[in-house]
Parts: sequence; C-alpha cells; structure tokens
Amino acid sequence: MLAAPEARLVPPLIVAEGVTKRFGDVLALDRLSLEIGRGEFVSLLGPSGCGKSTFLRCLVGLDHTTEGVLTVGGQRVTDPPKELGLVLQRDALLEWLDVLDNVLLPAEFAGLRRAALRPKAKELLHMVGLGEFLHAWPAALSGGMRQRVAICRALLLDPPLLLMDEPFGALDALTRDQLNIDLHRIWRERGMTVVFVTHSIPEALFLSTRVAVFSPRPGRIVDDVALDLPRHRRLAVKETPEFAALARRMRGNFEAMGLIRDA
Amino acid sequence: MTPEPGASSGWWLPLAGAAGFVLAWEAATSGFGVPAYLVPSPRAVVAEIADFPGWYAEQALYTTLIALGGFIAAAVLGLLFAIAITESRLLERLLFPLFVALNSVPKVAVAPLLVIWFGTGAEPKLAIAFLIAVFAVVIDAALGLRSAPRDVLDLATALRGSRLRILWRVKLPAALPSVFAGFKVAMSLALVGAIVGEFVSSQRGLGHVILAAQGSFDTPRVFAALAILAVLGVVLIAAVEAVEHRIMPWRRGEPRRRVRGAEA
Ligand SMILES: Nc1ncnc2c1ncn2[C@@H]1O[C@H](COP(=O)(O)OP(=O)(O)OP(=O)(O)O)[C@@H](O)[C@H]1O
Ligand SMILES: [Mg+2]
Repeated sequence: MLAAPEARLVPPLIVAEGVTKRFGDVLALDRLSLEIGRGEFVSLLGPSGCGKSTFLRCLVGLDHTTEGVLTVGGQRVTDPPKELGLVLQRDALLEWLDVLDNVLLPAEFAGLRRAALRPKAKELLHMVGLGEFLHAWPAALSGGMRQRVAICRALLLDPPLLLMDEPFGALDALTRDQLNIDLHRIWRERGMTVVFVTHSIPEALFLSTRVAVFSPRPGRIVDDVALDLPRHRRLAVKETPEFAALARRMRGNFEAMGLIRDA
Repeated sequence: MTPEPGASSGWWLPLAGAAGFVLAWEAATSGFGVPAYLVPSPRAVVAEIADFPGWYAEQALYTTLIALGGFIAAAVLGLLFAIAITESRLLERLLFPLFVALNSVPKVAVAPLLVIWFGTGAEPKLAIAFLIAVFAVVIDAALGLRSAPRDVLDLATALRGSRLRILWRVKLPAALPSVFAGFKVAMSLALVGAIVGEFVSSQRGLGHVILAAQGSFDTPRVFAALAILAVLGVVLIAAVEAVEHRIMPWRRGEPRRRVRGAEA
C-alpha cells in the first residue's frame, strides 16, 4: 500500500527522516518519517494537538526541526522554499487589499510584475465563482468566499507544491463539500503535489491519493494508506463499499488509539 | 464599526449637543445672575470676539501652527521610533525604558529650560507641543505594529517577503487603526503643549491672550480664547479623522476604485 520509494524513478518531492520537534519540554513530533512523491495528494489525518501543523510549519520553514532531516525538492528546509502555495485554517487575507490584490500578493512578494499576472488572477477568481467580487474588500465576503480567495492566492504562481492546513475546518458542511469538489478538480487539472491537513475522515478519503494517519502527541505516522479510488471522484464515491471500507479502517485507527469509543 | 446611516450620522446631533450646552450656560449666567467677571454669558463672549475678529484670528492661527508643527513632528518621529523598537528587540531594550523615563518628567517643568535653550520664538513652543504629543504616538503605533495577525505574518514569511516588504504591506496597514487613535490623542495634546509653551513665554497666541487677560481680570477675553481653543480642538481632531477615513477605505465598506471595478 505504501508506494515503495525504491520503486520510483523520480526522487520524492518531500522527504522527512526521523523528524523530531520539541517545544521546551513538549515533544510535538517524535522521529517522524514520511516521503511524498510528485503529484501525490497526501492527507495528514490525526487528532487535535498531534503535531500536524507543526510538521507543516517545519516544511514551510516557519519552524525548525529539533532533530532529523527534512527536504523539499532535495533541499534541506531552512527558509521558506520557493514556489510553494500555502493555505491556512484562517484564510489570512489582508483586509486592506481588495480581493484581486490579495490574490496578486505572491507576485508582488516574488518581485514579479503584477500587471502580467492580473489576467491569471482574474481567471482563477472566475474559476471559483468570485468573478464579480474582484474589487470587494475581504470584510464583505463570507467565510467560504474568503477561503476561495486564499486558495486562488496560493495557486497564482502555479506552485508545484500546495500545503493546506485544515483549510476548510471553519466552514459549514455544504460549503465544505463544494470546496472539496473544487479543490479536487483543480488538483486533477494541474497535477501539483498537495499536502492536506484535516481532522475529517470523509474529507481525507474524498480528496487524497494517500492518507497518513498521525498518532496523538508526540506525532508519528501509524498508518499510511494509498487509496484505491478512481482519480476522478464525485461526491457519490462516499456511498461506495470501497469508501466505506477505507473509512472503517481509518476509524479503526482512531479506536485503537483510544480516541473514539463507540457506544 | 461602520455607523449605520440615518439619524445617528451627520452634523445634527453634535451641533444639537453643543447648542444645548450653550443654552444651559446662557440660562445659568443670566438666570442666576452670575457676575460677568466670574463667568460671562455666551453672548458677552461672542461680542468680545466680534469686536476684535482679526486679532483673535491672528492669535488662533499662531497657536494652530505651533500645535500642528508639534503634532507633525510627533507623528513622523513617533512612528519611526515605534517602527525601530518593534523591528529590533535590541533597540527596544536599549531605548524604550529610557524613553518612558524621559516621558515621566513633567513637560511643564521642562518648558522654562527649553526657553533658555531655544529663546522666546516659536522653537521652544514647538518643542513642548512635540514632547507632550509624541508619547501617545509611540505607544499606540507600537501596539498597532505588533497587532498584525500571526497567520498573515506567517503567510507573508512563506511568500519569502523581505522585512521591508512585510513592514510596508502587512505590519503598517494592520497598525493604522491604532496609529490613528494615537494621532488623535497626540493632536489634542499638541494643542495643550502649544498653550503651555505660550504660557511660559510669549507675546502671541491664545495662551498669551489668556495669561494677559488674567492679569487685567478681563474674564470675557479669557473665555473668548477658551471658546476658540475648544473649536480649534474639534476642528483639528476632525481633520485627523478625515485623513484616517481617506487612508483606510476598507474600514468604510465602500467598493474600491470604482473605475477599475468597472473594467472587470
Ligand atoms: N509555538 C509553540 N510553542 C509551544 N508549544 C507548541 C507550539 N506550537 C505547537 N506547540 C505544541 O505542539 C503540539 C502540536 O501542535 P500542532 O499545532 O502541531 O497540533 P495540530 O496537530 O496541528 O493540532 P490541531 O489539529 O488542533 O490544529 C501541541 O501540543 C502544541 O501545544
Ligand atoms: Mg493545526
């Protein structure tokens, strides 16, 4: 089930080997090892406080590992890697820029000409149904709309790697389903590598090619499942026996860790 | 945040409040027969100003320029100092306690010293207005510069933004509401500073008018100067608010750049 690394011809995009992270006395990550290949959509599934965000922050170079090796594209992560899209749980929009300027922010920060990327930004916003809100202030948008803007911003420079930390955690179920569908389509069309943090078993299964299950803190990977589901998924996939079997397996993991107790 | 339009917006309510105050003042002075050398009636104060409009305008202008000069110096230098201490832990540890200590010295007590240093022209008054106003700018601007949301800063760092770019695009805009709160306090304090400066040594300005009128028990003149000061205070704060309003369109909820919006 875990794609054997030696079988791959291309080296993996992300390699974590024995990654340990301590915050003072708190051990957040304990000798975590994980490889992620190009084009994979990997969900990191785990209980609250197990170190998923910490792992992602280390990948982005916002935090540094205490021990172990972490590489992105063969380079050890010291500062934020180039060409990386990031979406956080809270959308992190800049309230003082309108929607279009928020999406153009990565261009500005990369020192590119904003004018050159404006058509691309508009196209992205149209794609997620925000074509009429190019010049709205973020404060005038709903939570789901804001998160779409954040996704467009992350996609602007076509990053080969997209990191998402519970991007839909704060949304209602309907909006969440719709954004799942949108994100899945974007990934199918663009084929970038996605690392997606979530608490939700159905969300992880619907989106991913592979799910890595974290143990409670200190975080390690206790299960790593390549999903045998069609590449092009519709919401109805959730009603198939394969999906149910995978969900059962995930739930089994959480029950084994004592995180859920069925009555 | 945005006040709803209707009865609660516009000039009517503040004007009604001021009119009520003046009426109560008029009633108190004429109704209870308070002697004019203690509290003159509003009519007497208006008559006093109407007798010497040019002269009062000249004094008011002088005080306004001193207050504005002190305020602008405090706004610019205070903001720069706030940026320095929020960007550098070293500078903060080195300079901020010293700044707080120096600020604890009463400025009124320093004023005579400033006259010795700078003479009796506009300089010592500008200096006092600046010294009194700058503290509010530094404290509020530093608070604002530290208020940028953590996730927005993380995102900016992940986009490999330089410190300058993050300061300009993220920290400064996030700080603006606090900065302007500080500016408003600083503006009214700069006016206080200008008057203090004129008390200590001056042949001009509203502070000088008050001091000279006191010497001759000319209470209507004192009140005339106070009334002008009150109006000045309101106008100067309103000017700061107008700039604040222009500079932060996203807090008003108005669509941005309608012209460009049409092209979309
Ligand atoms: N800056 C920090 N200083 C101290 N401890 C921290 C810090 N950041 C995280 N931790 C600790 O590390 C552990 C893992 O935190 P992390 O945010 O990675 O969890 P998570 O898996 O993302 O949880 P959630 O799903 O609730 O977001 C937690 O116990 C947390 O208290
Ligand atoms: Mg987290």
